[in-house]
Amino acid sequence: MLVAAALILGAAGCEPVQPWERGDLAKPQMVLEPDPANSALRAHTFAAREAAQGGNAGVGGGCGCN
Amino acid sequence: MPVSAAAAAATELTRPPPRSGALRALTAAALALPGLMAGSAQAAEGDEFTFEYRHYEEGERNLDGESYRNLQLRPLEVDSFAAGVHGSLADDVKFGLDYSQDTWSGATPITTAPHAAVAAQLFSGASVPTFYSVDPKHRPVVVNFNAKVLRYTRDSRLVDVMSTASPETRRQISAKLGYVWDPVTLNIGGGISDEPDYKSRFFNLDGSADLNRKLTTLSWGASYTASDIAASEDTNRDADMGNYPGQISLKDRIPTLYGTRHDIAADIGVTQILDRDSLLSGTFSYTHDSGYLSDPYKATLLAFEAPHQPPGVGIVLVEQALEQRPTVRNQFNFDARFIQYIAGTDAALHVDYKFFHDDWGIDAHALELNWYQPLGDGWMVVPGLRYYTQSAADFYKPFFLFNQPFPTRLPANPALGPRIDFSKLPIKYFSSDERLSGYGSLGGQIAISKQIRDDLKFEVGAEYSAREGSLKLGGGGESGFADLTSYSVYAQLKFDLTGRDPLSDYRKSDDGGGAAGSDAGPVVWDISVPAGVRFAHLLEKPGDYAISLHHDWSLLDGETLRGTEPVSNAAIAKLDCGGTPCLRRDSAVDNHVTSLDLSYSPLERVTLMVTPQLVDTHQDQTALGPAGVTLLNHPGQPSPPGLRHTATGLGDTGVTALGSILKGEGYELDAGLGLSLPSGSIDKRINTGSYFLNYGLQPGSGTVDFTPSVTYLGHSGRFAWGSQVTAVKRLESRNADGYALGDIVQGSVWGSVGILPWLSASLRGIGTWEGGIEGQFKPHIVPTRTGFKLVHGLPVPIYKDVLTPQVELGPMDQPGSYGGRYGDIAVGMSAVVPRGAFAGNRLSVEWRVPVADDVNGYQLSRVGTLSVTWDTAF
Repeated sequence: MLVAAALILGAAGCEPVQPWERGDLAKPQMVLEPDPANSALRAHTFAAREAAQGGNAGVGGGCGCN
Repeated sequence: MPVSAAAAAATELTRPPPRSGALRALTAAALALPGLMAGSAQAAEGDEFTFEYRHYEEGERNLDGESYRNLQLRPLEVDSFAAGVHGSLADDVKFGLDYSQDTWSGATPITTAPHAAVAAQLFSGASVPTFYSVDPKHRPVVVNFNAKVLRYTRDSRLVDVMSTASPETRRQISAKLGYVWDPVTLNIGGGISDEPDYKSRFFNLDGSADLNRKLTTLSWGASYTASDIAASEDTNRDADMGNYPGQISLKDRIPTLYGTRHDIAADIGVTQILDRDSLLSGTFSYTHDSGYLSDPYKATLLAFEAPHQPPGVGIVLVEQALEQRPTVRNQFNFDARFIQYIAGTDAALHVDYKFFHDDWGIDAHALELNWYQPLGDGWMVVPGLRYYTQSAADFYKPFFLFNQPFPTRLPANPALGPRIDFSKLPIKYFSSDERLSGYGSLGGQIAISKQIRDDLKFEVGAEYSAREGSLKLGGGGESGFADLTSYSVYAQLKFDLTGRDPLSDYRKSDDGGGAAGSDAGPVVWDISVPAGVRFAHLLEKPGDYAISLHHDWSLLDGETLRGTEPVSNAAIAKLDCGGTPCLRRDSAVDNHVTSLDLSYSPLERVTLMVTPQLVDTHQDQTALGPAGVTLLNHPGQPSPPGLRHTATGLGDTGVTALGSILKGEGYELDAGLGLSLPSGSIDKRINTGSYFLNYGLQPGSGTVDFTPSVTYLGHSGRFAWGSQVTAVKRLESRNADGYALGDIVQGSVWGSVGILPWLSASLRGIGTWEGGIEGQFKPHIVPTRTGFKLVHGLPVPIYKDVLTPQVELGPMDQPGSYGGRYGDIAVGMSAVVPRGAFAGNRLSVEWRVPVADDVNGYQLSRVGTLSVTWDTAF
């Protein structure tokens, strides 16, 4: 939460990025989560092999008991 | 997650979009802008279909001198398939539907043991480790009690005790619905995950809000999951299960553990555009798990060394128990992502750091770097690195040593022998699951994608990772026995529907020689073929392409037929199975074939099709006589395998050319020439890996097959009809395993009537002739343990290759019990989406039931086949 608050406050002090300055941000390589479906399959493999559940535990089920 | 367009420019480019490729790409990019959080709320979805196949495989573990081959083990592997559709129902209503399945097979550790205990087991000939020896300084040693002079050798190694759980398929289906009140979005979703031993239902709510002129996006989410566990403890029969009183009961004479579990999770995050080239996001999440949180297939070795032993070599008694984790777990996650645009190469650097902490004592860090590099002409390459490290859980040890006498508890039934009195243990929780140990892993990945057309993207990727105790941050990780490597590969197809004409009528390249076009009158009837009919799909003009997803789900159940008549179990038990009476018959078969049909028209009146398939078969068998009967004819294989089998994998791949021979007003005659290429496995074996699963469980044929077809289609107004003959001719007399499936000829005739312009019903009759299997499985080499030899005082097992014939347990193992003559009737429905982004997408279902069967040999009765086809053209 502190980080979130710091982000917002910090950003508020920045020079605002105008809509017409966001061309680079709109490129496909700049998407935060470019491929959710692929990430979900990959995360399921990690979840079955690593103790840390990655923050999206609970969405989706299954044992991973292997 | 609905789209949160952070660029104001995007609002000018909403549908209907221009057909210009550049503008459409820009639209898609703008729609896929950030503002979307990691965590339960995901991102970057336009209107699209996605298909993905993924294969994960682990390297061989260090089993300390015993090779996988000798132990008849195969490393763990996972085959996953996922399909999803995401789109808009209206400008402000979004939906998503996702299906995925994964099948796990191969060997995995069930526990860890001191190598000294395994050596003592070899010397004593016991079926499980029961003790090991220690020297006067309490260090594990190996003692050859058979030698004339007492000698011992120090041995402090730890080894994995491996087991092969029965391969099982997990299926998950989930749906979500989203509403957009700009700048706020809200999603509601839920789903189920189903596998034979574990069923989950989940429900989630999430949303986001754009603030600060869309420079900042807040997101939140919450989810609830309830799971029921019913795990067969067949592979853990030797473990003490007394620590789960009231949760173990017998199911089909196998001890089964029952449990429930609840997970509640919540997350909150923020994404901030920092400047015109970078953005940062942070998500915090909390998860509370309660209930049965252990892994039902993991056991822990408990060792007891009495405090007052006589001088000299002492004895430590050991016993396996089902692992026991706490029943509550609180997890905290923090995920920070930073993305920087690199103008010099038009690339983007993604940095993702995750921190994890829970009240089991585990702290984990994951750092991932990915470099997104466009190469022009629609190509993108994404190399990446990932480092992960975790500390061990408080209750993890490779095995647990207690300085106390074995705490004996005498069971109510004296025949069961003494077990552990868990109330006398100084600890409550224990696990030797290596996934709870301290370790680090380092991996690299690469993804390569190509935008083939504006609306079609193909991507492949590979990932390799090495897990080692020594890679743990700060040192102190688990020693070498737990080290592991793994790799995965995937292929993905993505169809973007964002730019489709929202007002298009039914698609014109129809199956009835072109349905009446929009100029044919006020009512346009959708013409389609029943869902079970394949290869009846010619494309309209060169350059067109189409995709269709086809699923057949066949069920067999009930009585076994001989020819046309049912036969009793007693009659089957008298049959000859390789020199002894048959022991088994199939009691239920559940067969899924999912086929992705990709069509492309290179020339006028010609359509090329490629049809990769995924096959997933489950087979339950019934013992005809008393359980546990020894296979007298195969001395190397002392007991029959489990009663349930699963085999999943890629099937054979079809390559077909369809051509239009005749075409007139309201009718057409098409012919197809195809080959079925043997990409499917014919090498699926029982869990312990020694002999082949029966012919019906092998996903492939192992032969190159010729697959011709002739199709006649006609229609008039709301009525349509058709007829098709297809055949499969095996072009090789034997596959690599020594057999060839029978040839097949099938004919069918159908008629359909439009109920509404977009909805039709069909009736179809089908006749099939299928030959029996030629040849049979060749004998195969089975490494068999014949004894052990001493190397530096330590016993090392000796294996010998034994040529062993394929086991015959029942009719399903006999080539003569395949094929026959089958008659079926099928009823179907077909619906097409008339307008909107999904216009022209068609969903057809057909239920097919047998009316007359005359089988070769002895075969389980068929119940029916459900066919579901979704298709669209571009």
